[in-house]
Amino acid sequence: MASPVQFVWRYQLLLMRNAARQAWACHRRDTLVIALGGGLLLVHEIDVIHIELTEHAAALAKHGMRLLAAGAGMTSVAGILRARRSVRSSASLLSRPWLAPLPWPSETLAQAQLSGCVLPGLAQTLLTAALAALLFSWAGWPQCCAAALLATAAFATGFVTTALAMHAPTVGQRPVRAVEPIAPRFTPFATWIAPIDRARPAWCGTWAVAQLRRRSGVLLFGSAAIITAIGCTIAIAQAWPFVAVAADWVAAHMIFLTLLNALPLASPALRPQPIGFVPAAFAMLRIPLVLSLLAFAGAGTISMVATGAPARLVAAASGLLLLANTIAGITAIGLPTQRSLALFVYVSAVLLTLYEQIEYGYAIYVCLAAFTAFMFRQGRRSFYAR
Amino acid sequence: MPGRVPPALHVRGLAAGYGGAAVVSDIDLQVQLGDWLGLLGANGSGKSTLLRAITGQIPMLEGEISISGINLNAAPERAKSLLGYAVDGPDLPGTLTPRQYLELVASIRRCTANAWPVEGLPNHFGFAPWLDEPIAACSLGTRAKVSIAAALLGAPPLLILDESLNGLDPVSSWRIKQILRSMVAGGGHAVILSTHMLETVSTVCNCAVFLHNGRIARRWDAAALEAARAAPGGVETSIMQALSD
Repeated sequence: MASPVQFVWRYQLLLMRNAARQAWACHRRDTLVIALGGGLLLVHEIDVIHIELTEHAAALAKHGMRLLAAGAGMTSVAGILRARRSVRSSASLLSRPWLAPLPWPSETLAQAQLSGCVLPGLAQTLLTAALAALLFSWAGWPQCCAAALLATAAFATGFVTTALAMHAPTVGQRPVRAVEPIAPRFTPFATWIAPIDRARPAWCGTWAVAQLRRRSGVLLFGSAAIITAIGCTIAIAQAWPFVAVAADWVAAHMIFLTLLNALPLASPALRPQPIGFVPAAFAMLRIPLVLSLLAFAGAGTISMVATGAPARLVAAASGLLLLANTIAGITAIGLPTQRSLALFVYVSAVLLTLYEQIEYGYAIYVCLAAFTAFMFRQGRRSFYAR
Repeated sequence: MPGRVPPALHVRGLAAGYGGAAVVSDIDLQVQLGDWLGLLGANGSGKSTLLRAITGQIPMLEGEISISGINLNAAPERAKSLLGYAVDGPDLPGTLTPRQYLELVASIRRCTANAWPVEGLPNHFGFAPWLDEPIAACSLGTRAKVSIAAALLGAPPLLILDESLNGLDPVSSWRIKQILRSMVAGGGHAVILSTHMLETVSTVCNCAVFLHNGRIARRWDAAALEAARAAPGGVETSIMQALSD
């Protein structure tokens, strides 16, 4: 019988092999679109970063030490976050109910939990090294290899110290659940939104929202509240209505992104039902959209009263909020089983559009519209299994 | 022919699978109203894949599926409104309660959440005490009952049960079979039951197909099953022969 350490390593390799097989088993059409579209976009973005770094090399050199320290700090934080994720994923793997009957002592399981971080840690350290070397060399940094080494060392230190700090024999002691977590994670909230979730198809919003993690929800909601509070305080103190409305807008959009979840669209419980793609997709967006717009309406009204923000500005911001929420919603619908990836893709698409607008003007919004249409088509195709 | 009732399910030359690779192929199948079809086959033979294709969950690579004469590809919503599919228990939305799930299905099917062929189905099936608990807290058997109850909402003409009777207590299993039997006997409904329980096929089905490596390897029509039933354990023997061949 394999030891827990061997098991974790083999399991990780198996997961990688399965992921590769799944990618290979994709429709050739999808693979082509992802490889060509994504590849071209990636090459373009690398080129943009290259140009920007080369152009601003002189300015960057002025703040040499400060930038180096900031870079090292950032990679160190990245290392800490990645280690936390690796340890958790490894611990979750070793806490599977089907492993519970195996006679593995908890100390050995804890050791296996740590071993599970080795492969991802090595891969991520190498990636950090390569990226840092590339970025520093493009920025024309003197002794770019030493700088890259420093950034890599910061990442590795953050990773290793966090993994060791989390190396507690908790795996074997964790009670093993025979079934999934029982209580819905967002119950009180779900109950609160229930009255607006009874329209056809009923309870889709509750279903989607209740699947979200309470911790990430609290984090994002907390951030939204802090942004609004800071923005409004500055705006009232300085009489800057635009800042107040912008803070309200960001907070309302964050509420939408926090609650957005299209996973039920991929569920076998929904797809054999006689419902079209558009109403099913809209059902996933209904609750986040209503709450986001309500939050903005409330905060916007306060801003209007407190800072004298013109109604026209608030109305324009509402329209923009609706548009941004729609694009984010459609992106989530296009990738219903990949919530985090959808969020990343949406944020990247918006940031890219804003950046490229400098060069191409408003014409770039045609690309954003095409991207949105593509995501909608992807979502529709996967919903109807075509 | 004018006035002729279309079959509850008509599958022609179907090939379906995952990621562009066919798991089932060359499937030709016709289920008439009043039929109870037993879908048999070893593990991995393609039973669930076939049912997923029939319910529009995976892409068809070839062929055509019609439900009560409505083409699934051309009019998916209309076709799906004519079938009730008992979802696998673990696939039910664990964060909803059975009551919410039934209301969700009823709202989509545009019927009330108690539009069952039998009044008080939750009491009849024995899951009434669990109606307001999260589905994730329900046992697998209770989930299966909720799933079957949802499939029966609005009494669609075609009912599809993918190993849904497995793991049910004998009383509930018998009650569910009785309800389905009376619906089928009325001539307005058809049932497709994928199962490994040969005695169920022997007692309730009037036709059966046996899948092997994603293809229909053997069929039993009403007459063949009736003939097999003449001898004690005849249906089981006939199926076991097909399995071992």
